[in-house]
Amino acid sequence: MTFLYPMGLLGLIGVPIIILIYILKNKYNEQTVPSTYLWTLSEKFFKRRNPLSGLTGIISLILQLLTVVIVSLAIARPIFTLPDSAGEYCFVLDCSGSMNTESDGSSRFERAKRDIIGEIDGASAGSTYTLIAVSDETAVIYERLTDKKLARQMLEEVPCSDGGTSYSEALVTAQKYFDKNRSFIVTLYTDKSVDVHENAEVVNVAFDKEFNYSLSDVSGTFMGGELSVGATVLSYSFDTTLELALYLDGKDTPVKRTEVAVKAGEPMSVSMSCKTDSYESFRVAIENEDSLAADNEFISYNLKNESAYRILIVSETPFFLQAALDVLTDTVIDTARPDAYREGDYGLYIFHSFTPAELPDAAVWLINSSMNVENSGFGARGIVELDAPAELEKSDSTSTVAQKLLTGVYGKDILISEYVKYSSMYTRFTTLFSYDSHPLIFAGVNGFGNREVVIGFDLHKADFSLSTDFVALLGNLLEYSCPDVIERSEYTCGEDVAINITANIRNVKVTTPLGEEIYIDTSSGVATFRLGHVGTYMVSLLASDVEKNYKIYSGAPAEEGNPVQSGEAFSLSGVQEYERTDGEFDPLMIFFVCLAVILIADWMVYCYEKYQLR
Amino acid sequence: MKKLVIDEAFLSELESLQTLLKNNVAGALGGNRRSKNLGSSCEFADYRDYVPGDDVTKIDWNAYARFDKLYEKLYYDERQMHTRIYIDASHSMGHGADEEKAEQAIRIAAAFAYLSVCELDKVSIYVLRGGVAEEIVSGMVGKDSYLNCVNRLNAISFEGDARISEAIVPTNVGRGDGFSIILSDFLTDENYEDAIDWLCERKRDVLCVQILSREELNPQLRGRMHLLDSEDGNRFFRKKIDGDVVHAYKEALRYVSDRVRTYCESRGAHYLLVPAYVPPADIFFGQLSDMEVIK
Repeated sequence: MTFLYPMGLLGLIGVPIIILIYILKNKYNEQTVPSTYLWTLSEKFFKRRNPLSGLTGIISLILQLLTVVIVSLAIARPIFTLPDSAGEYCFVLDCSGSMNTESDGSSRFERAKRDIIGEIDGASAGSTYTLIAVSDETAVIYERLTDKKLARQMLEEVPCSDGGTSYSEALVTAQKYFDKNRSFIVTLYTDKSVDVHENAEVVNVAFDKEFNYSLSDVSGTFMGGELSVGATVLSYSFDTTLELALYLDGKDTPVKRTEVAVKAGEPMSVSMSCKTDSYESFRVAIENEDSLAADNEFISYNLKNESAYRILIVSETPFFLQAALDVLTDTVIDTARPDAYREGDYGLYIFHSFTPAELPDAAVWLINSSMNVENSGFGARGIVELDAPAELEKSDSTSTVAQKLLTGVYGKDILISEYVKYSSMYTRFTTLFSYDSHPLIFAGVNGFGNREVVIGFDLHKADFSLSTDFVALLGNLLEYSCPDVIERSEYTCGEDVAINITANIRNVKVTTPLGEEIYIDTSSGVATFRLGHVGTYMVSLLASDVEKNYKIYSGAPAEEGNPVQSGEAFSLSGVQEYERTDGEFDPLMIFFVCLAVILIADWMVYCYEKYQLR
Repeated sequence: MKKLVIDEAFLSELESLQTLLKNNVAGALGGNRRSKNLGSSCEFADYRDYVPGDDVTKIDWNAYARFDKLYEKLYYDERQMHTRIYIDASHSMGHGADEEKAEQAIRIAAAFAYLSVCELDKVSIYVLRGGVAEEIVSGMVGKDSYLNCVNRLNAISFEGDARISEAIVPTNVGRGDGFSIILSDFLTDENYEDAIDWLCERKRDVLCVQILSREELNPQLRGRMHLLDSEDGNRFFRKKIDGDVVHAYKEALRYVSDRVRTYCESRGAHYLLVPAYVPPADIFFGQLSDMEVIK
């Protein structure tokens, strides 16, 4: 037995003091009587009519001792140990979407939680509990927790995601604990069929029979005023007839219904079509009742109109740039002479052989800019004329940005006759081409936080614009400078969604299907967030002070709907040991100790009396 | 101890009483007590034929006139009774500030002594102390000696213990000649039955008076008590006295009283439980009269 605060035991000094006071205070009154004959004889006739009446004399003593002992122990916080009775439990809980499958009013996830709570309740006090939640990500909810109540409470608060199951990361985490202590009792609670498991118990919480269907591979084609939708449906356990419905623009009334006879385990392709002038979204749903509803519908949102932006070219000779960009994008491209330049509502400004007095608050290309401009992120040191045409050197950087911007660019035989020498560059720029270690084509973020591309030579005085690399590089730079905010609207739960943060974008907020609002960090060029639920996510942002909303749909992972998925493995390397640690008695033992103290006190009083009688 | 003061009014009332004996009075001297033997008292008993040599003054001449035959009239004999009073002089009788048991014993002894001398009986008073019966009044006859008797009673000191049988049996207790009165609290396992047996065997009329104090009859002690025996310092009783203990004490008291009573009744002896605080008049004109020990 140990004590959390042993100094609290000093209070037990009060016990002998109280007993001493009791003994001194309750001395026997001595008195001489004519004869003790009758008193002695009365012992033969003595019987307690009320057994408790004998305690009446020491009730106050008992209460005083109890008070002192309980207060002392409460301060000292005793911990009663029971050798080799406690275990170190590690629960690995599958929180994937399939665990939401319900039967008889409860889900697999709830069933797993109940099993874990049963294990916690049944374990000896002093055991430790570690909980690892597994879905697309692995999270250690608590580690070597000893408080049963807290362990239960935190377990109850663990949500079930709609994502997939990533055993590998969970296995690494569990292995880490197992390596530290070979006596770790690792138990995996999942609905998957785990074929191989070593040094770990697997509890399958799947139900015996479930009505489970899935909808996958949904695609839509809009052409000629007709929307054609294709999908694949599957019934996992039973032959049945599935009823499918097609809804448009979030309306509750379907525009099309169809029935499909499916055989168990055999995927069936389905197609539906409807006439419409335009649409914002369409939804396909299996109308049959299902144990796992997450994979029974799919929504596709039309993002096409949300990505539009405008480009302004400021140049004396904008023709070749305009022609090249027209090939690359449908975006509206305006041109302006340098003396007529005014900042407007553009997503990208391209300055060719002209340096504005100040940078606009948008993405900007500075081509052959020989003047310094504030917040551009670099300084111009004048034009350097070369004696003979020289070849640009392509960057061999492995950075993501460089790789992306140089995609499709061959980068050979680009000759220049003069260039602008730049210095004092910010480190955030990524150099794409250079000459003699001087960066000549580089991209990055300027002092306003806007994307900026700098080309340090006159396109008219180089053969770059005549090469095939020119169009490819322009395409990459255009995509870099004015990317689509969100590239697609259909995702699978567990995927990362990338939001391209352009210069004019502020305040990005993501609303999950559960109504949670997540604010995204816009300091980097690309912000990402992970889809944790099945359903529609709303991405809201301020672009040039105009609020724009993008809807994306997070579908259930196909493998999560499959109730008979097998082939998983969960094996920990090493040799399992079965050493237990010292457990703890229940707090009820405090009362037994109190009782023992009272008995000892009573025994001391008895001994004292006997001592006097000797 | 408070000295016994003669209450003349009570004594004069006592003169109207007399003791009732069950056994023959076989005293050596003539007295005031009728015997079953024939003698020379004035109380006619029977006739018998005259035999020459008989006392001619006792011939019934009226019978001779009627039957023409001489008959001698016979009369009962009258003998003197010898009342022997034994007083338990142990410390338990005299314990306490007021020594109420001792006083009561002396009052009763004095009353019986006066009652006896009034009937012209002899009175002997013994003090039982240890295993010895010390005779403090020996063969007192007549009221003249009564004052001296009272003085001797007042001089009794109550101390030590008293073994009743060991003290009484060796003494001359007489035979068939009157009352033997034992005044004690009988709170002992010491043998007192032999004394009663011995006295009854000697055809004595035996009266055992058990005198108990108010505290002994209804103890008021409560709480954690260490009770020391007044007669023996080695004897003690140590207990927390509560209602249950007092209840057991009263059961023990009832047991002891019944034991003495039953034994006396089985031997034809009288038994009387006397609270120490009861006036002697109530005892003599109440309890003893009801028991037909006196009338």
